[in-house]
This record gives sequence, structure tokens and C-alpha cells, in this order.
Amino acid sequence: MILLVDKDPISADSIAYYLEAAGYQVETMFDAHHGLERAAALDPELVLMEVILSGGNGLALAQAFKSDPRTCRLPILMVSVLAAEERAKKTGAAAFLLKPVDRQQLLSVVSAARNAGGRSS
Amino acid sequence: MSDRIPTGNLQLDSILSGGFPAQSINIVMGLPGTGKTVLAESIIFANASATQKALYLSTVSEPLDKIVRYAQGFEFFLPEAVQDYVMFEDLSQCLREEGPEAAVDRVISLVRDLDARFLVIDSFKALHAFGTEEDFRILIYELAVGLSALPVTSFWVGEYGEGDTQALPEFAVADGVVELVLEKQGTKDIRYLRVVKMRGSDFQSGEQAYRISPKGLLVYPRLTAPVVPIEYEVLSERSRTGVEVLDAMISDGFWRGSATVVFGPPGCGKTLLGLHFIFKGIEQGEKGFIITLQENPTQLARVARGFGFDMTKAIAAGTLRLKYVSPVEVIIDQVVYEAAKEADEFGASRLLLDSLNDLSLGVDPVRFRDYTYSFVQTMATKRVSLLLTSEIRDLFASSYLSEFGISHMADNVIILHYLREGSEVKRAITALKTRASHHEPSIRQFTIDATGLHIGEEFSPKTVFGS
Repeated sequence: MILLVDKDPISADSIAYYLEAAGYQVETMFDAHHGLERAAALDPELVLMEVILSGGNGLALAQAFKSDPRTCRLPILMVSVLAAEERAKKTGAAAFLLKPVDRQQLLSVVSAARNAGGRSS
Repeated sequence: MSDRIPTGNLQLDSILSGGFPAQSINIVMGLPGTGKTVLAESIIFANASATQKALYLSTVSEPLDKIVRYAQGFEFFLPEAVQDYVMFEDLSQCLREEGPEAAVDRVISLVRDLDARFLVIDSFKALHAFGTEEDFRILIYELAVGLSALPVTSFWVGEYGEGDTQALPEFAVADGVVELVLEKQGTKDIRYLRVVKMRGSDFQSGEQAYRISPKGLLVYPRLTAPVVPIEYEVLSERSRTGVEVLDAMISDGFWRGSATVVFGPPGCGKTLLGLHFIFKGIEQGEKGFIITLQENPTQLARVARGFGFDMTKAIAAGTLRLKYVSPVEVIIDQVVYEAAKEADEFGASRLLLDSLNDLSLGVDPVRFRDYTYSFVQTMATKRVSLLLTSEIRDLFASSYLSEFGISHMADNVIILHYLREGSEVKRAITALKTRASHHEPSIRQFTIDATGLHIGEEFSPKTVFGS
């Protein structure tokens, strides 16, 4: 299962549509509140996260994921409208995609991250 | 916190007497494409910090993603500030799913929770789509009351038109209203900023031209002549023109700080007389400033070189500054504002503007006259001697001098024209007016050769009157 954290339901819908059409199961969160606890409880195989989150910053949340033993192994892909590739990589994100995302690029990055994380569909 | 919120733009701050009043509610209005969002964004990025957070709320006009995407193209945008101390939030979902009352509650709680000191709601006008005007009036009041209890300065951005300021309730509660206007002038689009209202605060009224640049809005405050004239020292020095006989005709040159208009038909020597004037100043240790809307710098340098004036050398020596403005792209507000500023910074004693006709292209005549008058007055207070060229249509004589009403503003008027003498066409020069100074009002012939302009004898009455 892929956890998608995005502030914007329309943008999240598009990304979820691409992923579900490719056979992935997607859970969506629309804000940063209690993000860590919810992610730990869901135990996803991959997290796709926007930098601009309602009530917070995706970069800070990604760092929190990397610092927590329950989520530190989770591959994180940052997907944002904000050009923040370098800062995303510094948080330990496996990849960064600038919105609006290219479908093929999204699927290939997701597949690569899952393979690197030891799971595949 | 200071009682003023600077805009991050010194020119706009000067129009607003230092910025927007702190903790005020301001409306930034204008039709699509006028730069409202850019202005609001630049203000919050200029002011927000870790201890003074800003909240930018998008509604149902433009998606938040698009707002952020386009904002990144501007130099004021600080990516590291986003969601750290400049918080972007989407209000559209709350509006659509829970309605305007819930949205107002959410705005107040977000401002309170973040302890935000700056708030932008973009677009505010789009909120009208949710509910009746009567409901909306109450909501606006509740929002204004809620915000007034918090130390936050608000900017409500909206695609409001002229009629909205009288009809819509938000304009009654707003402390400040700034309007951005896009106007067609000939083939050009000219943008104007106007402060419609600024409660309890002084501001510069009228239309202020601006451009949208990578830095944000570049504002050119309207150059105005002081209502009460500034007292300044009138120098008894003369500014010689570099043409000896002309100097003799006008009592050894023009008064320093005076404005001279040289009228003449095409090709008669107006620019050349201007070059004499500038280079005579340089020869005497005065700095010269040329604003050309006619020849581009390369063309002008070649023309000047043909008469022995080395512009390249003078520019390299720091005694001459050249500013080229394309007559196609001219915005008079910008040219006049920058000319006054740059002449001052450069320390110019003499300024040649070539030509007034090009400056007037596509400009409303009243606006042109106001700006030229203000420019002449401003330069006079700085004791910069001006020489302005103006083309007249008649080759041989002109009973009608100025299409712009400029001649009465000028201290001195020189006319260049042609006269027929037998089968020959000769050049003629007349000093028509020299304010507070004696002049010889004769019509003299002049010639142009490789060393410039040379004035000769008076024409005979027979040549002048054609009998």
C-alpha cells in the first residue's frame, strides 16, 4: 500500500488515479497532523509526500519519519509544486518529482523505490 | 511592531507614506492579469520571518498549486520560507464542503493557531459565490471583527472592478484599497496603481505607473511639481551652448538650471545643437546626461563622432551618461522618474532629451504636459540645465510652435528652420525667448560642417519676408 500525503484533493486524486490504474493500493492523508502516528499505524510500503501540507511542512514530516524507528525504513518520495529537490534529498527522500507529475515518470520512480525497499507488485 | 508594514518596494512605500498601516485590512483590487497576487506575495515575503509568520489562503479562483508554481519565478520568493514561516493553505475545500461561515471560522482559527502577522486571502471576491449578499455582509463584518482582535495585517485580493467599491460590503470595512489597472494606450499596455483609500493615513494620490518584473512590481511614482514651490538658490552662472555666436545672441549662454526647447523640422540640426550643449559642459568640467529616444546609442555615437564629439571617451571618463529609451516601449512615467533619479545620482549639470515628440507617443496630452512641467520644475530645483528637442512639421516657417503647450513652460526657446534664398534653401536660427535675460531676436543663417554648427550673418529682410 502506498500512503499519499497531499494538501490538495484534486492533485492527490490525479496521483492516486495513476497509481491505482497501475495496480497499487493508495491511502490518502490531507494534512500533516498526527502524520507520523497515522503512517506508523498504516505501515505502508512507500510514502509519497507534498512539501506544502496543510498545517505543516512535508520536509519536516519526512525528517520526522526518518528519525522514528517505526518509519525510518519507509522509502519517501517527495512530490511537490515547490522546486525543493535538494532539500528533499537532504531529508533522505529517495526521489523528488515536480508537479504536475508525468505519469510514466511517477510509475517508474515508484517502482524503483519499491524495488530498492525490497517489495515489488 | 512598527505602525507601518513596508511593501518591500521603496517606490510603493513612498506612495503609501512608509507602507500599509499595521493591523489594517487592505483590499488589493484589479482585473485579471494586473499583478494583484504578485503584489500580495511580494509584501508577505518581504515581511514574514520566523517570529512574524504569514498565511496565504487560496480560495476558488486559482488553485494553490498554481499560485505557488508562478510565485517561484519571482526573485522575492524564498522557497525555504514556504511552510516554515510563509504558510500556504487552501480554503476552497472548506468553502465548498462546509460553506462560508465555516471558512470564516477557519480563517480566524488558522491566524490564531499560527500566530500569523500577515494574512492574504486570494481571491476574496470569489467568496461571493457562496451565499446571498445579505449573508455575506454579516460574514464580512464577523471576519473583520475577528481579525481586528488579532495583531494581523490583512490583504484581501480580488478581481474587483470600479463599480464594486461602492456596492460591495468589504470595501466599507477595508482600511486601505489599492487598485491595479491595465490600460491600452495606442499599441501599448500601460499599468497603473492607484491608492483609492488609506484610512487615517497620508498617501500620494493619482495614477502611478508600474511594470511587472522578475523583482515583482516596479513602481514609478508620479513626478509631481510641488504645490508650494521649493525655494532654491538661483545661480547667476550661465551655461554656454558651445556655439559661440548663439551664446552671444543670448547674453553669454542660458541661465544654469533653465530649460530650453529647441524646435525645428527634421534634419535641421536640433540633436547637433544638443550635442554642442552637452560637450561644452563636459569641456568645462560639468557632467552631461543624454536621454535619446531617437537614435540608438550606436547611431548617436556615430553621429557625434562625425562632428568631433567622442561619446565613447566621455562615457569611459565618467563625464557623460547615455540612456536610450525605445520610443515604441516608452512609458512616460518611467522615463521621467528614472531620468530625474539617474541625473541626480550621476551628478549631471546638463541634460539633453531628444526628443519630446518621441516621449509623447501614445500619451494623453494632458498627462504629457503635466509630466513635462513636473520634470522641468524638478530639474530646476536641482540646477540641471535642460535642453529638450521638439520637431515641428513646417520646414520653412512655423506660426504654431508647440503641440504640447511646452513652449510656455520653457525658459528659453530656440527655433531652427529653413529659408529660401533665391534658388537655395538655407538653415536659419532664432532665439525666440530667453526668460530673465536679454536676447537678440534676429534670424541668422547657420551651416553645418564636420566641426558642427556655425552661425553666420542675419538674413536680409528680403529673404525673410520673401519680397
